[in-house]
Amino acid sequence: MTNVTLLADPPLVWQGMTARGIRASLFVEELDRLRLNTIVTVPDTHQRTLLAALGRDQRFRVVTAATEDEGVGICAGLWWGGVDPLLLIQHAGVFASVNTLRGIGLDMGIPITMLVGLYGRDPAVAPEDSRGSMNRMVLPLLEHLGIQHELIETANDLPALERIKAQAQVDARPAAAIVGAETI
Amino acid sequence: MTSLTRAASLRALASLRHEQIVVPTMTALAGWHAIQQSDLDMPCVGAMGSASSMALGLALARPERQVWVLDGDGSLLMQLGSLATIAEAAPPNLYHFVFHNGVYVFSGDQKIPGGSRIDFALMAKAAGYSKSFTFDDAESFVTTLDDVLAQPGPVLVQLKLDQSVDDGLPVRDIPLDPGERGRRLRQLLASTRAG
Repeated sequence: MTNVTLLADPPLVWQGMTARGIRASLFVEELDRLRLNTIVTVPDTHQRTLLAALGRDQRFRVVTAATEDEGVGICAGLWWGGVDPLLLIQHAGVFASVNTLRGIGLDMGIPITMLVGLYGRDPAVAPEDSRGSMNRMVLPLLEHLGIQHELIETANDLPALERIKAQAQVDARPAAAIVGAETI
Repeated sequence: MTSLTRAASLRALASLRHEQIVVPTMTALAGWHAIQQSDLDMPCVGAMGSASSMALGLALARPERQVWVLDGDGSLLMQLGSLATIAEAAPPNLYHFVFHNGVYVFSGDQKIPGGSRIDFALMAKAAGYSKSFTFDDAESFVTTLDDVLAQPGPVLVQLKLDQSVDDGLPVRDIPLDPGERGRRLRQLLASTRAG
């Protein structure tokens, strides 16, 4: 078992916003511990350091899809084949893939663990109060679809990943960990 | 030369099918179901366009088995980027058959964008598939299919169908529970892996 030290998150200044980031290495170790080693992604700016770390790490296979719709389909195929998939996308990808989340994820009962980045979010504001529509609407959209979710704001929230994976499997449908703070 | 029909294509495929996982969709689905049924079939219904992506996931998860996707032309157009995604992932066990009739059959034979002119074999080759083929007559397809399936994937096979012929097979969607089919497929694959 790998011991993970939760380091204090350094502040991050980006595009005029002061945010706190979560170290990509912490996500990497948690994903490996949860045996989520096959990553299907349409790259997310918010989680770019995590994607870079996963791409360098031989323990992971990263499959880049052209669209999030494809990503959901690939995850279904992986699951039928005996592989637990992780779908790493941006909030825009949730909007883009509503039909496959419904038709495959929900109707076919596929337990997909999702990591959804809130790109462009002002970390001082709750997602539902954001000015931007994607950050404001994505959690209500997930709720409307019946997709359980938890927000990861700091490294201390990382255990949510395990709960989300378990939730997806119990419910036999996708569940989403929402990455509220950028990975660094 | 004999024109190529959906029925001739499906019967040729069925004659060579053993332990392959098959992902049929749209007009190929009802015809395939009428000819052959297996717990290794994973129909794509309710998410038009997703058959190729579902097949890619299966091919990556189960590299020891061939995965055949029986796709539609309008269906593939809905996730055309999957050609690049599949080529990049480069699963050697994925065989992508595109039933190219040039129309949306279910909704009333409206022409797909590009109609019969559009060339999926060229697109696949340009995207980076290992090989791509086009067949428009039944005899060539039947006699060559074995060799096509011996090529390392990903391979795309474009089947240019003669829509003027009623091939006698059902067309419309059939009542299936894809969720149950998926769970059954997962169990079957798990048991064969363990064995």
